[in-house]
Amino acid sequence: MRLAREVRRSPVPRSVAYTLDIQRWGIVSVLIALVVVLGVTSPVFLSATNLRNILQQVSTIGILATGATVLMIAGGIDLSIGSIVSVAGMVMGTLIKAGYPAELAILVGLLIGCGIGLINGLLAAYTRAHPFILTLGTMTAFQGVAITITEGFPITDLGQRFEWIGSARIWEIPVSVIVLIVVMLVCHFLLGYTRLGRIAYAIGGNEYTTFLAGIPVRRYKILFYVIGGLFAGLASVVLASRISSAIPNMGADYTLQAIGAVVIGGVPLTGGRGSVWGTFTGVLLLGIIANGLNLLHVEASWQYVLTGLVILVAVILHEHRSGK
Amino acid sequence: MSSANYVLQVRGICKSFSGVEVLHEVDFDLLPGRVHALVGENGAGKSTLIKILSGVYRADRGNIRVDGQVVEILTPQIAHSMGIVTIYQERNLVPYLSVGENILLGAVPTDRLGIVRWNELYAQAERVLRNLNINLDPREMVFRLSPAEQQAVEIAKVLSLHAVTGFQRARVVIMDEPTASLSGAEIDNLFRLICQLRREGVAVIYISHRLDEVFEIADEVTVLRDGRKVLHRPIGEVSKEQLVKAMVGEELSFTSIAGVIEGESLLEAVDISSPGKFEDVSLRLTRGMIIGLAGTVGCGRSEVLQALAGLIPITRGRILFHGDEMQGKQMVEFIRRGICFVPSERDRCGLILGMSVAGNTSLANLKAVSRGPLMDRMRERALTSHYVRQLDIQASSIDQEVQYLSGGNRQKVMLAKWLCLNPEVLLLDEPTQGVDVGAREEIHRIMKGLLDKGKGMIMVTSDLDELMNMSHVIVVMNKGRVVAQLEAQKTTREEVMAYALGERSPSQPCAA
Repeated sequence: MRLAREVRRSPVPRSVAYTLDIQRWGIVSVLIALVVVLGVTSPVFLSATNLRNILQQVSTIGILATGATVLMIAGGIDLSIGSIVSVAGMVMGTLIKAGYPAELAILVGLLIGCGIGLINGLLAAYTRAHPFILTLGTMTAFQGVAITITEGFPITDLGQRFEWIGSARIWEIPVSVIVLIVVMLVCHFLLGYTRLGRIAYAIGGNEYTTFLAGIPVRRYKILFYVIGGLFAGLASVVLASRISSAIPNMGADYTLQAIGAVVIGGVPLTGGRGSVWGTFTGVLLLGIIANGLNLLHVEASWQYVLTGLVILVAVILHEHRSGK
Repeated sequence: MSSANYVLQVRGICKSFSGVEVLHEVDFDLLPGRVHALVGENGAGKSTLIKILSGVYRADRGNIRVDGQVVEILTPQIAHSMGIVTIYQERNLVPYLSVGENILLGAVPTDRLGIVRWNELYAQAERVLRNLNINLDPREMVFRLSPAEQQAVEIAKVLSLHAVTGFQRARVVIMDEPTASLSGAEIDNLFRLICQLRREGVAVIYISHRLDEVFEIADEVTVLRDGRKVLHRPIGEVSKEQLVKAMVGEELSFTSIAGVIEGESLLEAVDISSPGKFEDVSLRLTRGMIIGLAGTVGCGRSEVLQALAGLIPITRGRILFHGDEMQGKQMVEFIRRGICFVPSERDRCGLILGMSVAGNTSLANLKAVSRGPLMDRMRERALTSHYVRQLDIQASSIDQEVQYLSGGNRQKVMLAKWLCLNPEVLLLDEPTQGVDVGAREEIHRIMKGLLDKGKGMIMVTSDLDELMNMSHVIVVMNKGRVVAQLEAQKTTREEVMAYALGERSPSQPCAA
């Protein structure tokens, strides 16, 4: 009966306990150290304008990574999210140029995300191949589709109405940042408070056990791929709106950064664990490194090297901890 | 016979795992050119003993002599170098390499530049195979071979070690259930190989469940039971009945459950078959009844259980639940109606180790602990707390991840997951495997509690005590078929074992 008493006065809700995870603190302490170093070395770094810049710059990756978090907690992975960004962007650009309203273009962009997610989900659920390889295939195929749409030419100047998301501010906060925050809140709620979220953790934790418990694992797997695709479509809207153009390979660079952020944030590639806040620390870490290196006038090529090193260290630390 | 003749002499070996003694003062002798069979029930300590002999585990006490010399430290490398080689049940071959490459793995002949001399490799492998009278092409890929052929390659590989690595030639060959996946003709082939080894003066330790094989191939036999050596005789001086008796031991009188109950039929299987798994199995489970499914590993009993859970499709026959046809229905439908399957591989199939006690308990019953699409944490906590109390699950809190619980408590969490669905029929596969004695008693108490509520259970167990004491009816299977249906109170362990090992075939038609 000792337990029953403890249950009643259990001090913290589970979501808080997640945030207080030791591993998270590892990343958080790296983040704090980085902020302190950059704050001292660069006078601009801690200015409100720069902090706003950082958030705006990470909004696309943040939305992608948050969607990928849900999918990866459920044990899936989607390498085609960058291609979704490209295809959705090109289709939206084409529609706007053809005179359709921005709202319709956005809706179509989101539906394209869901559609490609559905294809990935069906492949992952009904074939025996590993989703890493399957989505490597769809990644390449849809990158090709994105290029075909305009035979490789970018579409520029998408009009004020469409640009609003990427450029407008509400109370000094960029709309794209607000979109990111809303996405994070929605996914946090989904993972922590809904049955769907619980099933995501269950499938990632042990797919066969979940199946034996009478849960239609395949159907849910497909759904998680669709959710990941939907948020990739949304990331495409935010990105295309911010740069007011659609470029055939606009999403290519984002895939591995987003997945890297998820992994830095503590979702193992096997799934079953992780949180939206963990992923956000990963996103911030990558964003602050890029921003700080810019401020310190480090060449772009070296930024890649350092970002890669950070991902390596985070993953090794993670494996090290979970090994114990 | 002086001790110097023995190639291997084991004295007073003791071994414990986390406080549980699995071998107690075991002696074992091996003469060159003899086949020494090692038999015993599952969990009797056979595997532990051979793992000590092959250097995988270290004994807590006792000594091992090879050629009369005490061996202080035995590692797999040292064992190999002294000519003690083991052929395990699981194959250790590389499937996408050729037979020849597998045989000479680690000693592939190369020239000065490190380039493989393929002709020499295949010639060498060919010689090894010919010496053993194994008719295989050394260029064939291993994954194309039958299980029996793969085993022959494994034997060739092990026996060729001395020729190619400069290790001492094999003098002791340990075979762990070598016939488990072989057919009749293939077994004959294996026995021919063993006889050849014997002629060459190699000593063989032969582990098998199949007593007729033991009588066919062995020169002497040692029986282990509960980690102790209970019998050692030349094969000519012992009968099958004596062996079985030695394996199962004396009947312990536990409080067993009451006699057969004639009641309302819950679950019924009529002549169900699944090709390659089991044939023409019929069972009838009534309220308040436990059926024990007995037989050796691989006899099809677990598959029957899974078929009754809707997990394995059946090609013939009918499954009736409360008289309703269940054949062809999805597993989800079985669960919905209250037929729940509790698997044996607890950690792999029964739990989510990284999830909390609460998360695991509610997994099969998520709808009951949610409101609409939202989880209702309070309800989940209440549900979990109820079962934690009822089953006396020891956990620091219901938020503790199950990976930090002991085996017995994990088992109870897995049971709780199904009990909260209030099932009509529980299909239990090895319900007390890997749990300590206390937890085992408690699980039996839980099962008795379910009987009182009129539930039915079908249980697969390798534990004879559990089988005899916790079943009303014992259905014995052998090679995918039901060979006997016995009343637990009117039968003996010897009778069950005799049927399970295929020593007795159904003399009278099985009572339905």
